[in-house]
Amino acid sequence: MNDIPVEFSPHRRRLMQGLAALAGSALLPFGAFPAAASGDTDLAAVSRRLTGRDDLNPAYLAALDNAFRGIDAGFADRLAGLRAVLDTADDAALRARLADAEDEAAALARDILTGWYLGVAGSGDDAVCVAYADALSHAVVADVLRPRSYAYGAYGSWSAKPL
Amino acid sequence: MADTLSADVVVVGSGICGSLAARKLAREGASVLMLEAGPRIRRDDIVRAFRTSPRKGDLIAPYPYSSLAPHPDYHPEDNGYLLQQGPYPYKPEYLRVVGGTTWHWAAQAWRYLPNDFRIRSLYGVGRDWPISYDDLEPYYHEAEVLMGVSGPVNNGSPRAKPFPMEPVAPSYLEQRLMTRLAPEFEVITNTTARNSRAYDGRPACCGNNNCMPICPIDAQYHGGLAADAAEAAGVTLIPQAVAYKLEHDESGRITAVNYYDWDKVSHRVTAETFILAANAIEIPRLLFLSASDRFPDGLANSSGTLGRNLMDHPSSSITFNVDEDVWPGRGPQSPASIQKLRDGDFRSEHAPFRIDFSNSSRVTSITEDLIKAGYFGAALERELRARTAREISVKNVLEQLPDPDNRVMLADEKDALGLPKPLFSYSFDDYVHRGMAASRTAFERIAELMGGTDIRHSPEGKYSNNQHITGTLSMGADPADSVTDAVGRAHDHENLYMASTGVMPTVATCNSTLTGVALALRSADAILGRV
Repeated sequence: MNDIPVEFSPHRRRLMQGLAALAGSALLPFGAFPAAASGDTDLAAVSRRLTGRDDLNPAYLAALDNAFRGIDAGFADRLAGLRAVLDTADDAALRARLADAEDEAAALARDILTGWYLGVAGSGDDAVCVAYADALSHAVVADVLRPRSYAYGAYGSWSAKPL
Repeated sequence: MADTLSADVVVVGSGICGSLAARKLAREGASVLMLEAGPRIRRDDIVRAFRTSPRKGDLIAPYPYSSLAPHPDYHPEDNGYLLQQGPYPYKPEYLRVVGGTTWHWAAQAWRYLPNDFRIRSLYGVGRDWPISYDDLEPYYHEAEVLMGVSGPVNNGSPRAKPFPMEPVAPSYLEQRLMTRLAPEFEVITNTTARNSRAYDGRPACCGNNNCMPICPIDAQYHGGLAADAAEAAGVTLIPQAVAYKLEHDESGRITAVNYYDWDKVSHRVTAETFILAANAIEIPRLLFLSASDRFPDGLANSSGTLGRNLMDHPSSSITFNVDEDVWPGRGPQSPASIQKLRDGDFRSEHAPFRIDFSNSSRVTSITEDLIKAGYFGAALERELRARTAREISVKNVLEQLPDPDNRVMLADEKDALGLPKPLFSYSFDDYVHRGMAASRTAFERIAELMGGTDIRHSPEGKYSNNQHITGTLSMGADPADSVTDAVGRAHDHENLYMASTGVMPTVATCNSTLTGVALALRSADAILGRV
């Protein structure tokens, strides 16, 4: 009654990548990722600056790190370059630079922001879902909205003024 | 070695129309066999696939795909199943799974307006139906009871009996729209196959805001439930069975349907009556594929209109920020609309339309926009919160007239089973463009009344699609200009019926599913000798 085709289509491949990444986030201890385990990594530092948050979930950080490295063999080098950019740019300059569609460092920063706020690393066929409900965009509005597919509340609770 | 199966009735396609027609016939004692090209799926698997998908905005992404029963998929790039001849690309989405495409829909379950059946007589455009609203009214109610439809009575479509349920409770956003747009625009709660109370073993909506691509709790009706109901009534369902050819005898009666299983083994099914219930693209495709010496242009095509008069609902939209916090995303996704521009003498000049308010959470799209614009850190979060509270989107659902040059055909290119893919010719006429211009005026007035700022129109002349695929099997009184008769039976084949939105001769201004189901239930009555 419940057969789902197992053909190895592009769709299936994307789904499996997503599941693998989630499994990494949910099941593997932080220390399972050596690059992320030794002190303050480039990704941790870059993520703090880009999100403005000091309380980033270490398991989420490890899952993102794992996903980005899996997608892009040159990730570590590009990340180090981005960290250097962030170390020297003030907020106004950084905002302008991140809006530049052609800037490589900005593109990586936008990818990392997408990872944190939408739970997705990479794009197109390479895109991987590393998180959903824990993505920061949901945290920003958590007092009013639920991540889609999770119940808002009892029937009709949405009729009340939100705040 | 091919085997041969047999039943009183064979239904090709297990979507909401085919399944509910099959159920009705089985409950009257017929042996019914239903073929479905795609696989069985389970709701919980789709919910999990949605939550782990990197493309949350892609309604197709959570559903399984097979090249053996392909469906169109445009993300991250077009999979090339549907081919285009132009001038305008027609890119509908649909699913080939047990239960069909209503696994993902907003459950809008509107009746047509009585005048929608007579636009040629009343307004000199399009074509009249061979039946009237009154002919269909009892079947609308039958469908509404099966599907659990709720709604308000002031929706323009008269009814002999009450809705099975009260309208779904309005969100705060919907209440603000109702208050601030009145009296110029009356905003009503949509009629939807969504539970406002526990109904038929399914719970009331609890606001998961995920009607598309999947309601996690079955608070809205869908074709998977219809297929379950058909099987419970005794219908034999064969999934992963891709129908590819109908056979006929000397008199033109259909004698058998042949299908491939997913190992490409061919099977043959004989029956007294055949119902084609794939969709308005896959049914013409099967009929073209079944061309014979006697019917060289395809079955059911002596009129030459098979696959022609393809219609959908093109949409334009406006997005703006309201001048107060309204927080879309609380409650169901498509809660309310404006009816006043669905009908009137203006229909002789430009397309009518319904105006539809979205209540889908905008968190993802706004986040994407802000990241692209260079926002980060505290400013990103501050702006995300502000815009999520105030940004709303409004679209139209606009009537496209039947045009014989808008059509589905067979391409030279073939799918993995060696069957020619669908090919489209498609365009929009000035009737549509003038309707879009009228929509724009209404949109701007709505934005003004809501104190709208940062107003963004969808690109001029580029319309999104609504997957309300109609017209390619049009019913009509004259066999010279229609494929099916007033009960959905092929003019050319006395035991071949179509249970599909494809039989609808006009697309009107509302979602096509409820009308498609009502017509399918009426066709079942015709098979039973009751019409």
